[in-house]
Amino acid sequence: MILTTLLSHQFKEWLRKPYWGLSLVAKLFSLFGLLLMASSSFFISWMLPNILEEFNLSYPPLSIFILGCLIYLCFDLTFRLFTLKLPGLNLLQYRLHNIPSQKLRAYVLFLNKLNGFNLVALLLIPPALFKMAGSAQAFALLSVLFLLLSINNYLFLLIKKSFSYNNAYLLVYAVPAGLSIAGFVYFGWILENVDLVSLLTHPASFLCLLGALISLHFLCTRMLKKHAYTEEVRGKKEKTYGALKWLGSGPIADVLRVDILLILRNKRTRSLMFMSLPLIVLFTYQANVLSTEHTFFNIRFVDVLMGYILIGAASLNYSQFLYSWDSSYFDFILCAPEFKQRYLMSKFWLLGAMHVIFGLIASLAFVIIGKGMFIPFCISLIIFNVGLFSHLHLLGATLNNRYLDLSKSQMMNYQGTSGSMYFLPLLYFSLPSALFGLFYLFGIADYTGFIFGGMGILGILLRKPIIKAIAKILDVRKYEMAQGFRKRT
Amino acid sequence: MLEIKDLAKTYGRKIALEIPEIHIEANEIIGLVGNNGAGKTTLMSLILDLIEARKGTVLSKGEPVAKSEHWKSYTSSFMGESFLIPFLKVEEYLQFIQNLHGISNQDYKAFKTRMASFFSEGFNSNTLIRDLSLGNKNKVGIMGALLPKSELVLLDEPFANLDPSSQFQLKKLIQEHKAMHQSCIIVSSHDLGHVTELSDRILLIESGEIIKDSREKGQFKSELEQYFVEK
Repeated sequence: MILTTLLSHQFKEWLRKPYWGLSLVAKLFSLFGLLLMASSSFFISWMLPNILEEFNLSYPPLSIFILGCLIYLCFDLTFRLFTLKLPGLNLLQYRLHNIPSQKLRAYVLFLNKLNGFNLVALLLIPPALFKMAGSAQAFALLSVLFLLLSINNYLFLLIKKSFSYNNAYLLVYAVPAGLSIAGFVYFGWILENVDLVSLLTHPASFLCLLGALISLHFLCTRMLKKHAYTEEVRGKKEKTYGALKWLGSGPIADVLRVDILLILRNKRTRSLMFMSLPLIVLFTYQANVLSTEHTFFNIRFVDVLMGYILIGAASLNYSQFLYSWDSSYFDFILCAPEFKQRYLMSKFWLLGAMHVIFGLIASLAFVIIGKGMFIPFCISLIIFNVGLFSHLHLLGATLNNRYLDLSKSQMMNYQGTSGSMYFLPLLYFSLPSALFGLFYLFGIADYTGFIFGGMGILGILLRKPIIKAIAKILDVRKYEMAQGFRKRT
Repeated sequence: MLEIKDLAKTYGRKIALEIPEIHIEANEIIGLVGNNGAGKTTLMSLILDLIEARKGTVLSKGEPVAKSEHWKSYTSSFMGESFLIPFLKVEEYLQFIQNLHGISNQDYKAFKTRMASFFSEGFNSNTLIRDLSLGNKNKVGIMGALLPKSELVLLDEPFANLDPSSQFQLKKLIQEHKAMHQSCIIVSSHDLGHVTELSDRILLIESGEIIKDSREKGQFKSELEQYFVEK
């Protein structure tokens, strides 16, 4: 009865939301993806013993399953952190239905467990279990799986909750992410050296697992009780403003400080920044593969494109919303004295800093994967991005006039996205390639790095007149932008 | 201080505001009164160049606000939540305004002392502006507008959401600001009691037109009450 009331209430709430139709389409797509993942896991689980046999791998299936589950759940945690919302309830509205708090907490926990990721994790096992029915291995496998699921669910609740109001807790997020990478690295070592079967089928291990399961359930319940389902309550002291005093004083430093606080203190900007880091790793991997496997016209076309993408994409995520981040107080900005020039200049330096930081991370990744020879080229691209693309971002972002809700995570969140966001990245990404094509036609392709770097330096030197020109364009567009930002949908 | 000439603003076919001509002098408090949708906020937004006029100009000290930036250095305003930076703390927000307007630390400290009883939450509160109550958000915005030594101050419904004590304190603060800086202060409000007591001049707006422009302080309240009762 209580479950029905809660579910129907949530359904009505969902229908009341704007764009619920679009949300339904997105959910159907997600469901399709989930079914695909679930059927794949079922298939993999069923076929794994045969695959091992096919490849003459002598490892026991149990070890393979456990490590597979561990790695899957680490990745799952990472993805869920960005994609899913914490199942939260506004306690007050349910008070009207006279539902005890204990039941509400149980409902939230139930929702947290009832998700596609848990389903996929569970489907990774049963077919194999069916093949090993009745054995001690099957029993151990089930215990381990449930433990991993509980740890995963608990960590998800903990991180998601903490992610809302304290940056330091992101370290907790880094641990499973790191574990997943370490899992891959030591995968072979563990299989060779640890007898997981005898370890996990020991009675003492089973008791430990059971104890851990109960403790984790207790911890989840306690956490929900403490936080009472409110996602954005801040209890921690914010000390970041004081910590940013090193920026000094002066008109641009003041605005820059507010911009940095915007990133640090809002969920959407924070999640966007953390999303950018895996992007860099992904693009580095792509650049690594493509630059070794393919060469077009015997030249480094892919190096140029990938080099730009991996450095530029991360900051593009932020810069295409450049003015929309300030949409909730854009009127204040318009009325501030001498603001346009210093506002744009602070944005220019902020974008520049982003290009440098992300570029250096990417360069470091190149060193790690043994592509150190790309470093000089990366540096010239960083300068190119700072000197040229920062200006283009300042200009292109004037086309977006949608209000942005900063309290929601950026992942899978299309609120505030406008049409310009789809064609501007195309322009940004095709420009370096087009320039490179021109250099190639004129036979100066070997000097691409120098020319890009030179263009960047020129852009940095001429920043004042360029920004003055952009300020004039902003002046023309400001009414339309401000009007759009006032529509808070 | 302000001259408005042949000003008009429309939304689609609806005329939101139409003012042939009006002059607003320095060192006076102007009360803008009218029902919802009358055009008070539209007029203030046009004065601050936040929206584009269909025709006409607003001149601030002789310069058109839509073409000049200079007026921003002697103008401050609070027009609701879009003037607050939600992720800053109160002290951070006020310091930011202090730096924007180049106010000395000494003056800033004196201002905080003056505001201590008005903003009883405390300037060192750790709460971010977005987590404050509506009344406190209003207070922060008002303080932000009164902090600079502005010659022109615009406050859109400053008495809304304030507790009675704060409303009385606010009237005193506005009068003090006018006396200290010889400012022109434009206040829009639905509270006839406060706005008539505070203002030197009342502009009654209805359907986008100024239908009454009165300087007879003693008569304000009774005239307005009579008008709104009959309306």
